[in-house]
Amino acid sequence: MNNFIKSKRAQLALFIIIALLIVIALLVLLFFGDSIKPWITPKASQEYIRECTQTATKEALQKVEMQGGSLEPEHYLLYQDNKVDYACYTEKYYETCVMQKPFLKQNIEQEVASYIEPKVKSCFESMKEQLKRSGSEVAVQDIKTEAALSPNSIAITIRAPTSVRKQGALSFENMKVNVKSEAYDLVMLASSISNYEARYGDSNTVAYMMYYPDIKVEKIERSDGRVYVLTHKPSNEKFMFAVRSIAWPAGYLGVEDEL
Amino acid sequence: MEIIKENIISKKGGMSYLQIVMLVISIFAFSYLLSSKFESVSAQATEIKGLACCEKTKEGAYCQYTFDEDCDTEYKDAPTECEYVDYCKKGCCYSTKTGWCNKATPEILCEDKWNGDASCNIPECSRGCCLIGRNALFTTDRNCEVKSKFYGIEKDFRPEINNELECIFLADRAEEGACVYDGDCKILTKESCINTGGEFYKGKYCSDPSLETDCKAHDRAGCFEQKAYWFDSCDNREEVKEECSIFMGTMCALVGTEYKCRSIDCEVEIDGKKVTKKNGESWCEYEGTIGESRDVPGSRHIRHVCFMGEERTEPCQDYRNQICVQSNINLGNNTGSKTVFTEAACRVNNWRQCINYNKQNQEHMESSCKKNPDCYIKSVSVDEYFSFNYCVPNYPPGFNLKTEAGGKSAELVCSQASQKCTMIFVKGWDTKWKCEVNCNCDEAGFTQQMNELCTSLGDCGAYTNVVGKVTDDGYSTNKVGLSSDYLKDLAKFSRTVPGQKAEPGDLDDLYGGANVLAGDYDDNSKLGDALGVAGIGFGAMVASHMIVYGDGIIESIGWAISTQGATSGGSGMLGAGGEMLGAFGNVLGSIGAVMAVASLISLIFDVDYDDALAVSGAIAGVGGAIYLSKAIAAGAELGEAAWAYLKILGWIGFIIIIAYLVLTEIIGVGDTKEKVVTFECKPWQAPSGGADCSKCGDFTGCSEYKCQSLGQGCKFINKGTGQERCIDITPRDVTSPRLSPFYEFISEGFEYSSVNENGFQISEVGGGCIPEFTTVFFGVKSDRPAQCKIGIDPLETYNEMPAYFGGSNLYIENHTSILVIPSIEALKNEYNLTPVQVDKLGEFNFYVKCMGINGKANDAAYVIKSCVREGPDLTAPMITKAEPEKGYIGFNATEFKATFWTNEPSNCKYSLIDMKYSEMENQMVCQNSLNNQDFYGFPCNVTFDVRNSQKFFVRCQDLSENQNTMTESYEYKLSRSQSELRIVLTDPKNEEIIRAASEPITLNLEVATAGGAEDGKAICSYKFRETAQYARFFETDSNKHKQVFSSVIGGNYTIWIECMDAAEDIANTTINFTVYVDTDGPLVTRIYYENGLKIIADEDSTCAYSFIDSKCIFDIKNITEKSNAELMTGTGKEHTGEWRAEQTYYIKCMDDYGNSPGKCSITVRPYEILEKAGI
Repeated sequence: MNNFIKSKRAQLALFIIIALLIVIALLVLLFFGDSIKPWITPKASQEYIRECTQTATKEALQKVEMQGGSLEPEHYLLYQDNKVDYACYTEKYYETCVMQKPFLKQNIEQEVASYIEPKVKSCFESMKEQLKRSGSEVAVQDIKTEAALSPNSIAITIRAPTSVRKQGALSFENMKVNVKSEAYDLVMLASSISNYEARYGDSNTVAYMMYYPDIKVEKIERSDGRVYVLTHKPSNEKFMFAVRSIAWPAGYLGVEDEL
Repeated sequence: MEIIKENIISKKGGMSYLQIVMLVISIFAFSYLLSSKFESVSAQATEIKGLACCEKTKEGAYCQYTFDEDCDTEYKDAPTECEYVDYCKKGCCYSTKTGWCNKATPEILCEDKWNGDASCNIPECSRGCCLIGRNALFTTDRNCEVKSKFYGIEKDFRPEINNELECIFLADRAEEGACVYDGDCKILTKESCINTGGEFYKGKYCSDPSLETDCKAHDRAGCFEQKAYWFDSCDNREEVKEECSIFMGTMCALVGTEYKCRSIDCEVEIDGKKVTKKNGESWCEYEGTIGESRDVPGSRHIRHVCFMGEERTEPCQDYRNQICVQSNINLGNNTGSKTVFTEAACRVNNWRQCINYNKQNQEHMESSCKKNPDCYIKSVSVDEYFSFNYCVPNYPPGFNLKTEAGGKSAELVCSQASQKCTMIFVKGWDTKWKCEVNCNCDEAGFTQQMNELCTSLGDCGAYTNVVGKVTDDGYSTNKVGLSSDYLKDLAKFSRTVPGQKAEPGDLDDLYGGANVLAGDYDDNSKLGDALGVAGIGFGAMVASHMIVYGDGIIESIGWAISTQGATSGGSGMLGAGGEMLGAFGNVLGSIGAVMAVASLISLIFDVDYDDALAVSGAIAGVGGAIYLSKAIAAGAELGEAAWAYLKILGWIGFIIIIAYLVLTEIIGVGDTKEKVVTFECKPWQAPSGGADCSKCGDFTGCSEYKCQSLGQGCKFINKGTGQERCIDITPRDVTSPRLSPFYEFISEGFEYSSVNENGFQISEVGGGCIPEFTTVFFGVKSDRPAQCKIGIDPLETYNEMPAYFGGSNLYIENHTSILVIPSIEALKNEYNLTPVQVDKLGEFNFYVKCMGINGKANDAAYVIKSCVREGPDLTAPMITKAEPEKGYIGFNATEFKATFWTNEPSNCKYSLIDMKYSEMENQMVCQNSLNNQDFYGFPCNVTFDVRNSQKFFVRCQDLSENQNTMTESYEYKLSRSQSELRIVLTDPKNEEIIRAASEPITLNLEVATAGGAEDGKAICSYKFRETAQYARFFETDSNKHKQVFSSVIGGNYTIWIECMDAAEDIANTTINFTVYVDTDGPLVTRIYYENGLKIIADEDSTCAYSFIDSKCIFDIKNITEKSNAELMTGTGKEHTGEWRAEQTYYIKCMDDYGNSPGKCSITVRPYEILEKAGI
């Protein structure tokens, strides 16, 4: 056998056979490629979008929750390398704060939606490409995302009228993706603490923890305000925000320095 | 006129055109030159920092009252406080979508419904208990509706439950079971399952094989509501794995890799001992000794909490603005032994009020001081005439010396303990001087007691830091310093005392007693009960708290600074316009001692004061009076007079001690002479260098304050990051500071001349000597933060030098001071100098040395030269200030006290008619010794008889040989009140009943005043208890006064109101009123038939009924055809509906406040009644 393989004629024959096989394969692909089932199906594409959205949403939440509810904090207190937005603030000493984020929940929803929208669009583009490559006709209209915090989850609604045609048709207008999150409870508690600070200039963390035993409430005093860190103990999800209310100067200042 | 065309374009024409052009350009150029001059003036004027309410600041904050330059120009701003600006006024923002209410929200940020009540005491925000399945939520009605809709269940809202605790216990544990739907399975309540459209299996788990779901049993363990449970593979809860109970002291937690029950108590270490703390216990940790003013610089109070088995630390606010208070509660147990449960809290340190109490007379001061648990009375008793009591903080505050404002603030506070003690010597029969008064003042005890007073005010004086390093540059004295043993002993205060704690104290009588429980609240007020349990009651307290501080402390200091800034008399103030205040502020912050050159004479000429000193006739003539007044002054009474004095000079208390450049200060007055012993209290300074910076991490949390206290070279870096540290920034720096003149800071008309690297001369512009009695501001600059001293001996080392430059011991770059040189004649008269000594006068050399934060001081002194103009005094004295400037006399007042200052030693007289000095009949009492000179000059005191006159003419004559006299009188006018001050209006009125639909309510207390000194303008205060202290109205100092209370609950109230005007006339009144809160819906008291169904309610109401809605969910306010309900006719208490005997009426009523029961008010079945009646 070895001698057979070693002979030149045998080698030549082998090469010719391999070449023929390659040509046949190419011809088959060329003429019968359409009938090969694509690896990505329309139904699988929805699942793809769902996973993509969930990943983006978790990223968005993580970022927003560590920064007091903003993606790009404008007015913040720096704590542990995080720019923590002020939920309630006053520049003066001795006075209670002015609420800066009365609609904290809505703010967060808008921030999350604005963060994930380009990522969802990118996912749709990617999906379109894959489907087109598989020979499908894909039409996706203008994509809009909305986020809504609710107890135990955040619901992402993607308005993306889409139609896919290939061996049948699939179309959908909206997609709803639910991501497990305790943000709603954390934000509600944050609002409650901010209101208390706006009225009284301080809050009692132990009382809050007694009423909400699953949430750990930490208050860290800083020179430029205080940072609240709310942690949902079972999931370890955190929400951080800052407050500056009834601040006391070191010593006491003259009238012109009261600010 | 004929125009000749050839001339238009010709050489001559060209010249003309050029001239025209030059003329036009010149006009503009001239205007430009002029305008640029005006511009520089107006630019100067606009450099004044104004304040404004910014809709949005450059930093992104909304509705902030700050410097107008910080406002974002793309948004609105207004030059007033934000509460007066519509778009930034705080109010309540209510979201109709979620039902959430947000307090203190400006209208511009509210995208939904906005109401002017910043505390959200409006019906929409009234909270009740919302039951959702097995959970209970204390929230608003609308939020309950939203939540219930989300869960797909009917709303169950109980408005009658108005506290969270009761609500939580109301939660009904509805039975759960497996809910199978769409091939999925979840554990839900029956109601939720039905709404989801699933099939409910009561008492079964999703993993039950009979349900044929994909859920596998006992997939994992986990915690739920503090118990350990099994969970199936679909994440549904199954049966309990381990029974934990908070009431039994256990909860579910991950222990290692297993979820099981563990104790909720904590094993902690306190004072080096292992202790078990119960769940919920909290306790305090202190860094050093506390109480009785012993808190050390850099220390902080820390609260620890044991919660659910975890120990947490919550440091209180830094600079000891908060203190940790702890109370021990004794609990008995079944065995009869006692256990102690500790509770701790961080609360505000009320130290500022302690300082404020000293403004009152002695009796009031002591009574107020004793009532405040954060204060105590410090007794200083050195000698018979040097004894006094002062109210000081129990927990002295910390200061931030790294900012300019902080340094000023610290000097302000500490300077209160700067005192001088005058020892009186009398010449005995043996011609020897013997001490008769205050002889103990030059003993060590004086300095020690004064240092204790000094350290009790804050981070002042000679004291230790948290690591036991003692420094002594926080004080100076011209006599016996603190011994090294005494200083070493101070280090013990850096150690904690086992078992020490700060007591919570009773704060009820502070802040006007304005807490929620002040009212005699009625049984109707369930909120009152609840709040009593929770101990809430901040609303008015906070506002009052601010007011007390805002007025008591801030204003007085502000006043002191502003009046300083307003000094007239041509002393060459720097800057222009509003800058003056700022510049002055800088000066005043470091003004320190007026350079009393006179006092240097003794050093320069080494005069031996044991020789009899002949004194000029004028002084000798009043020798006796001076002796007496000195005796009193030497006692340093810190009552009203002293406070008034200190108020003027405030933190420049050390100006009193103008003698600290002098080793001996003895001036003879006839057969008596005085020796002034001074003690100057300054901010405590950290040790030089940075050897201890790294020790910051040894404490529970390193902070900027603690880091600064460890060394001058310590800096807190990476603030706000995860790498915060305290480091030494001077490890290799061995250089000393370099000095130069402070060119930007010198009085107008004077200059720094002969400047070289070794020093400079201060002279008039053009080179002349300084005129006598002229105040000259000047300064030196160091190339890095440094502490500077001044003396007259160039060979003294830095530590030996007697005084701080400008009186400030702060490490700063710009050092400022004031130079005032008396006339040679005055010096000659004061000290009885010989002609040889007089000849030497005129030129003075001062030597300055500075030390950097690395501890390195100059070896060679920096020389400052100056001279005083020679020649006879030909100028009449000038009145530089009158206090008060604007005098108001009370309606019934008969006399009025005032003080006038002259720029040189003088005698002053006054009369009712303008006349020559020599003819004036009334003499003032003037203090003419050069040592009496204070910031404004030489004071003269007078008590005017104002029974028949309010206008007085004052003239003064100096003590020079020429006896220069004022040729024009100083006219001093007083205004007498035309009528007594009266309170003319109050709201609420006396005996008024205020009705409200929900509690707490926001109450606006308004008062109007009339009459008095300024047509009703007065300052009004209030209190809720007779024994409480008055607290100022938030808006006052006019004829309208307003105070908002945001947490008033139902009950009867009494408010005492007191108003005082500028003439110190007082008006007061008391009002009683009732707050009646109606939170219950109307009750139906009678039902009968009379041309229809008739019902009678117990209060005015609106009623509706339904035949279908058995739970009365319909909204009475929005009854439509689709509502399945009908409105009953009739308002008031009687209501009528159509008669349908066969139907069941589900009736609900709502009162005028919007109160209605969460369910039906009553259910009526007419057919049952008819049956019973046999009809």
